[in-house]
Amino acid sequence: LLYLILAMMLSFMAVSGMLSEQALRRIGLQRERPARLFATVPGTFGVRLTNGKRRLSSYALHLAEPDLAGGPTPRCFFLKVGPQERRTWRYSLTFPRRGWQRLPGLRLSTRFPFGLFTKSSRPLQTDPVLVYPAVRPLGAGEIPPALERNWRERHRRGRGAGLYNLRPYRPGDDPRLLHWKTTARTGELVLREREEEERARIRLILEDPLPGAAAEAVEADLAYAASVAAHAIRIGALVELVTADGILEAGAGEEHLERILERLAVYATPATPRSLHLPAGSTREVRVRLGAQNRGEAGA
Amino acid sequence: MSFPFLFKLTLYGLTLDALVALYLTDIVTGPALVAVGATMLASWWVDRLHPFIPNFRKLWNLITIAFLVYAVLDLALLAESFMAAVTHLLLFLLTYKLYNARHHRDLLDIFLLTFLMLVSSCLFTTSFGFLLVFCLYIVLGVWGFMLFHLRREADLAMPEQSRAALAAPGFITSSLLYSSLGVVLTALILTLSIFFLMPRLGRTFLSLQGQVGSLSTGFTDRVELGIYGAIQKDPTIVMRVSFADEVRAPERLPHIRWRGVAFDQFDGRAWTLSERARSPIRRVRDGHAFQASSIVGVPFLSYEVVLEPTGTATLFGLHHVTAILGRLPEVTADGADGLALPAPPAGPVRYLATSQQERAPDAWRRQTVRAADYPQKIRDTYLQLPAITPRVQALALTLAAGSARPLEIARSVESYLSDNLRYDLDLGTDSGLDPIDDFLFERKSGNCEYFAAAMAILLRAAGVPARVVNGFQRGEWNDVGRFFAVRQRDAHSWVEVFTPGAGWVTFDPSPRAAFEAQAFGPSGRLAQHLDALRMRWHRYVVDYNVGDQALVATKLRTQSALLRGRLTIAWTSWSFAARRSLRTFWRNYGSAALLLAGLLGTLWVLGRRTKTGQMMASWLLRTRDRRTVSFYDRMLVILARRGWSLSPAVTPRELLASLLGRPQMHQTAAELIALYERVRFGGEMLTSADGARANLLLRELERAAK
Repeated sequence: LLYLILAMMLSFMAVSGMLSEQALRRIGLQRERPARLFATVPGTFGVRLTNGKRRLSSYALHLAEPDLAGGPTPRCFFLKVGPQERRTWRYSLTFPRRGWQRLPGLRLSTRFPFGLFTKSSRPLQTDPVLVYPAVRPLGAGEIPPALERNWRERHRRGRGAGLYNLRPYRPGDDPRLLHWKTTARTGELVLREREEEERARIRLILEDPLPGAAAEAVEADLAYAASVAAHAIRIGALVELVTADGILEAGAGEEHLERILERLAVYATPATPRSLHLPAGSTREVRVRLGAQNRGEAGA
Repeated sequence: MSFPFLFKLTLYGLTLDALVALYLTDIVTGPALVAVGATMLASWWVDRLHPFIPNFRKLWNLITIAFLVYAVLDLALLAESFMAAVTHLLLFLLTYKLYNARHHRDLLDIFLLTFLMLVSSCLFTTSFGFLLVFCLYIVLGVWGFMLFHLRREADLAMPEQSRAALAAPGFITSSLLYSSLGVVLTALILTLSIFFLMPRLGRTFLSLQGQVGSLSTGFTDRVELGIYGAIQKDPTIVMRVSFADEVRAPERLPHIRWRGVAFDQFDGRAWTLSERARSPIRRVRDGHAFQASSIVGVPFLSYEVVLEPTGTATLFGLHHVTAILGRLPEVTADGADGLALPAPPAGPVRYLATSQQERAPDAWRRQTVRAADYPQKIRDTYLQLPAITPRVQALALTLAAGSARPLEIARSVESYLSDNLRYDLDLGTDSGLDPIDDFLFERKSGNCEYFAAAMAILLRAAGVPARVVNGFQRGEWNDVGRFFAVRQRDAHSWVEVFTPGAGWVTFDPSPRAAFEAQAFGPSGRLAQHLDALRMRWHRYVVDYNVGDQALVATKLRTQSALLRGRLTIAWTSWSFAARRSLRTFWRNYGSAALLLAGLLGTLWVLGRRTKTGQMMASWLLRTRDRRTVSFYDRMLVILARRGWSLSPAVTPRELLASLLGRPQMHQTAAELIALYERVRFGGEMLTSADGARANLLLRELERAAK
């Protein structure tokens, strides 16, 4: 009869494997990413877990994704996910570096039913994500003088390109200036008013680091440059970015900030400093020598 | 049923199951087991006991110390065996854990202890009841481990909410019950499959104690008269015997008696065997052991015996066993053709035996034999007589009537006894007289022992060598399992008479057939089914071995070869017929079929390449796309029936805005449109739950629109 006991133990193992497989079968995972990711700043991710099985529930499911910054691995436990049920989990991940990064991989696992074995799915990975340099509020001593002038009073209605205001359409207004999205949303004709062109304009100049500059210092200066750009955009300035890789034309608004951050995120430190080609025209400048920690400003 | 209650119930169910498993082993007596079980069950309310016992932990520490002292004494002096002491320890540990289960580890220990109890019981029992205990353990074990795992995982992952989550009303659902039932069935099927397929590496003879059964006194070297009186009321099954397939109707075979031991000496009270020395019988390969040479011209009978452990080492078989096959330890034979093992087996013993069928020796009936014709050894041994009374001697001479034909004398004595004396199991009190004299002339009734003893004594007194044989009569034929179920109450004694020509010939003077027909009715159909199940349990589980596996493999191979052959023949004949039909069809309709195929091909190419075909394809695709959001189309149809504008330029949100005046419709349509947007533009899959919800909303919308 010992053979019978042995057979029972083996069958328990086999059943355990089958049930684990069943628990993970037809479990769909959809990842939700934050719109922006900044280095060293926790970003909130979301996972939507769907049990696609028609009749069977899944029990004791674990979700985990290692933290790239070495922090504790975010984990989630679902005791039961009913048939066709959808559950959501939000968690934070921190990326230690800027640039294109791969997510560590979300892993679904279970030890159901007996805790004898762990059955894991293949890690769920998505396309690489672009991590911007860390953006932080600038301290009082860190705001460049070029951004401290009282130029914001010039922010008024005009004929420039930036958006100043939205208002209801009045007969006689230029129909080309209708803001269609808002019109569609509200059901009433809404006009887009532009702002005065004479707003503050700064040129953010990034100089390549000198040979031997510490990588940490370069990263810190990139973060500073990103913070300056964010500060400038948020107070309404037009920002032009000049690096050895090229020039990003002056612009305003969150979309422009995105473009600046993208440039900064993919900046690769060259072996030797490259020369900068500054465009003609006088404007206020914020000059950052990467890795030198000696940000300076020149105005015209 | 809530999770905590179900889990507790499963845990205690497993505990009780393990206790019953131990009960089957006889290691723990029934009353002791009831006491232990009650103590364990009382731990169900241990949480309520805590407030009344202030130093609960200290109390258990004291109990543990006391038990450790007892355990040492138990191991050294008290317990019947080492395993018995271990079992007592297991029982204490389980009780301790049930009263002190605080952590997951304690619960795991309880599972482990019940498992160890099951394992230890399987070493000591081969009872059919173990199958039930085992199946129940699988059911409860699967349940218990599953629930325990869920509880542990929940406690570890969400310590604060685990209790609430597990006790939530919707947690134990019917789907969980059904799926776990499926799991249990799968586990059972797998267990049985693995059990039968697992290669047997050998056979372990565990040093178990042989069971002392009531047969231990009936088949020894000395058997007192009257010992069968008690045995013959016991319905316990001693053995089951099935015949080989060649024997068409074993139940109709004549003269079936299961011979055990024969005795040659009678001292007036007890039968003994004078030649006590036992010689091992010859062993050959594959476990065959041949005992006796065969008699030419007499047919053979092969049968399989499954002997229960009833306390006797005797092996039973039909008259004149010529060969015996089985995984047996040494088999010995005594001077009167009795076969036996060295010791009473602890578990069931299975062996195949071959005997030669006994025939009525008509040719020898009229043979005249003088005293000098008997071999000296026969005369010395089988004509021995104790002091008998004169009237017994006179009766013997009267029945012999001066005949010199031993078989005729035997027939005469047999007839006298069976016709003039009454069969009775109630032997009354000992009168102090000579038992045979008392039986023949005073009481005139007795059981088979008295009949056999009286016949042997009368024959010897008449100068005919005779001996008494103890064994069993044929038993009850089980039509379901097709075997003879031989019970203790079938214990029987008869007589063998020696003639120089025919050898030992069987005579049975007991008129017990009529008595038994009145005393014991045939078993019911259900009882037969149960007994057949027990037989199979022993045959295919307890004693399943590598030989059986080889047999199954051979049968499978034979059957598969047969099947392959049949399939080949069927395929050959079918393909031949198909080819012939195809040729006929081609001859008659070949041109038309070609034309049709060409036409269809052309249409297909045109459909693929022309604009019309592409439009059809796109329409099909559109249909497929629409299928997922068809509920939206149905909503539009419902609204259109009620007069809402459905211009293609109207967006879902505009449509929704137009329903603002009908709040109920607006609410329903808003949910439908949100679902539509999620599926149509959000890239989400429409789950069946979503589909069901959409159908419900559509019905609501229809009602609201009326």
